[in-house]
Amino acid sequence: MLRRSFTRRRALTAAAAVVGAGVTARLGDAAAPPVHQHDPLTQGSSHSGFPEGNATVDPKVNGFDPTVILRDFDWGKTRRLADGRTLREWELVASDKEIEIVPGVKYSAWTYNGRVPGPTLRAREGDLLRIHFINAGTHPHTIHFHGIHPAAMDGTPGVGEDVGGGLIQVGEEFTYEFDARPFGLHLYHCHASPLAGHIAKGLYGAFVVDPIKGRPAADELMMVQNAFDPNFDGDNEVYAVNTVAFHFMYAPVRVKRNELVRVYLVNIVELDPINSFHVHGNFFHRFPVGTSLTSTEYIDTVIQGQGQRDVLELRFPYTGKYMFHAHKSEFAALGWMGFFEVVE
Amino acid sequence: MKVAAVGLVAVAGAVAGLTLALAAPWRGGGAQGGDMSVTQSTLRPGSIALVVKNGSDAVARVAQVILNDAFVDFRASHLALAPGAAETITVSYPWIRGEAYEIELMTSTGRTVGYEIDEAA
Repeated sequence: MLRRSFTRRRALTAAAAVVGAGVTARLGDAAAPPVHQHDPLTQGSSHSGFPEGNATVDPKVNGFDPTVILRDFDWGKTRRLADGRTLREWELVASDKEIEIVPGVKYSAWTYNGRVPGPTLRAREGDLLRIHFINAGTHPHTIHFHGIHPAAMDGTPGVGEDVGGGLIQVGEEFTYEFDARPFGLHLYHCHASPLAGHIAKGLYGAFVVDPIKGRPAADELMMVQNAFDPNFDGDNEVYAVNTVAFHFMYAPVRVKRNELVRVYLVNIVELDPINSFHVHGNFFHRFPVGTSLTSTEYIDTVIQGQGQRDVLELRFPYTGKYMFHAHKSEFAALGWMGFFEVVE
Repeated sequence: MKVAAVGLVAVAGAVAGLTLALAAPWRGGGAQGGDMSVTQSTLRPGSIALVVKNGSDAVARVAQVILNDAFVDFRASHLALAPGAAETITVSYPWIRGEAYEIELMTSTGRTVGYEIDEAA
């Protein structure tokens, strides 16, 4: 979006069939097309910040709900190994799926397990992880996990094909296996080329590794900042947390007063170099990538580059509704805004 | 405002061509056939009316409106436009005299139709 104003204006100007100011016309001019007038008028859209606002995407349309994704942590199928470690296994299936990203607008996404973002995988440091990947999509894909692991398990095209990994062709499968380390908030995403395209289409998810002794008890929320370029002009038009623009304006994130809230904040926006998260009426402790249990900052706005993650902790001392949004205001106005609703 | 007093003074903008998807393997699925265009704009206090014409051979549906990089409320008689049909989209917006506005009508497939008001009056 940083290039939006310049490029869009330039494109508009270049494509102009009629140039700008000074030309006047009246509705009903012979040259004007007929205008159909019917009452009552149909409301086309509404968004919060606007008083009529009550519009979001029905979760049934997409088959996933941004609110459910907040607290949907998938610990996998587990079994105790002979050495005492825990084995966690998941199956991730890449497939094409049309999703609705802002009311009325469909987008041809690529998904892991039919949702964007993909399942939030969760483990404890030292667990053994196996992720069975099936490519049921229409293009070659991979799963590249952040973390510490052998090269063949990295999900990078050209690396690991000798053991069946690397680029996974349509209809093929591969099982990634590695230890869960280090603890923190990590990413997984497709690493097939063109990389930006495969990520922007929706092939990504979060991957949480808890420290062995855990973190303090909290209401934990997964917020994946993402964006979409539905007209393929190289700029994003729709921004969100957990995919659906403005969702949390109409379905506020309900939390309890004085309870510790832990936000797992991920920025997977492509095409824009930075994103941000700001909360109203409060400050939060920041744990970059969640790899330390010591907070580095006490702030109310955090800036994230592409692929950056932070664990944020805060308590709300007062009840009421508090907005959270990107402090790149353009992103906020294009969907990346929502509310916490603090209750007793 | 004088605009309101005289009723229907349209401030012309530029009718922009549609942004076409570039050829790339991850693109596709977002475009619909044919052309849509904004043929006329009319500014009244607190609103901008746009006449949009569907020049394609398929029904098109205006799902959202983006004005200066923000989704805005809008109303129309019909959101679905038959081939060859025209419709007035009325955007609720506190426009300011002398300022420029970039408007994109986003269809149900995510395709956008651009329109620019160089100097609101």
